[in-house]
Amino acid sequence: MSSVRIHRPKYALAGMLRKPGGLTVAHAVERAGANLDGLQAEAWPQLDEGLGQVEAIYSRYGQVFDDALLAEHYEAAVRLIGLPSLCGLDALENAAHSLCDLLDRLRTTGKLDRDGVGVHIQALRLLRNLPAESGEVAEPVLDGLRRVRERHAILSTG
Amino acid sequence: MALEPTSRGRFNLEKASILMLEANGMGMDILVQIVTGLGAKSLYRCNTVEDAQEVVRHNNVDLIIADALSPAGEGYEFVSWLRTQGGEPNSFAPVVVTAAHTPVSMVQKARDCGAHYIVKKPLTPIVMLERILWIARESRPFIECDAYVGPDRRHKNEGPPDGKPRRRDDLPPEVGLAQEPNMSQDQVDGLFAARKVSL
Repeated sequence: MSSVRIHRPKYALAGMLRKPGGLTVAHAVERAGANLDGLQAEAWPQLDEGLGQVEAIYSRYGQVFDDALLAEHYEAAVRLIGLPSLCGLDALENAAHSLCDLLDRLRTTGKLDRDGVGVHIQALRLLRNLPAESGEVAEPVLDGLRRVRERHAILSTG
Repeated sequence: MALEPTSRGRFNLEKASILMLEANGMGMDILVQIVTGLGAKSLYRCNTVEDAQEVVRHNNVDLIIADALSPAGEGYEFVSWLRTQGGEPNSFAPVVVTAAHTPVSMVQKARDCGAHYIVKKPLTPIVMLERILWIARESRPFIECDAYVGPDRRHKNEGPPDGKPRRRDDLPPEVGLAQEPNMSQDQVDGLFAARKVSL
């Protein structure tokens, strides 16, 4: 039988956080948020470039399952994550997550759903071009993506 | 309980050395803007696992924020390396892993790498701060065995996995019959209320 050591290390971080001075939570969160706003100008072109890559990879889809192509597509989709919300496009962020989920499920199950991926690609473009406060328009689009994902739900065997 | 973004509670990250592992340029920028906004000043920025290992070998770090890095999860492997070969005290350092997406195939690896928390992107200042404060306040035991090194993964008090006790201090899932009569309300009150006694 292997041995197990259980102990409680002391984190220096805990003491540091309690040192006098520092910031209030409200002030710190506001400062960090303002810092992130400063990245927006840089994020927009990266977002558009990333969307272009995702679309370009989709255009190479054939009629049969291609794991290497899906892997490349998945990596491109993952690179989008974080950029839309930095630009205030939360619905686009959700759609990017949805595409990542779908591509991962397709790779895991070895299936190709060209139409399902295509719907995601169109939704990404649509949500990119919607104003940030278009929640009512975005909601049914995201609901449609959820239904596409559910077709490929992976059932737990546990 | 979730941390309120409007809280007037204070914390101080000025003296903390924070190692950040993130290969994506914008990802690193986001992380840097968040932690500097939260007041951190001493940052190690690493783009590769090798860079991060070098920092760990030669410096004491108080907090590590490591990205999963790729679908293959090199970031998780860095955390496993830190726990087993990072050398004390860094091997016990608090670790937050960030991930753009945690694919089904990687869930187990993410859970078992030895991180304290895994934060899904997009990162927000309030969530990052909340996890840092959780780590600092929690008293989760650290487990070292052949199969796993890291903070106890069973920290939610949901009982043993599958309801089967496996540790010496796990209680059986069945609750037995009471061995003594219930205490009266007076007896319970007596345990809590301060009373004057004459000696």
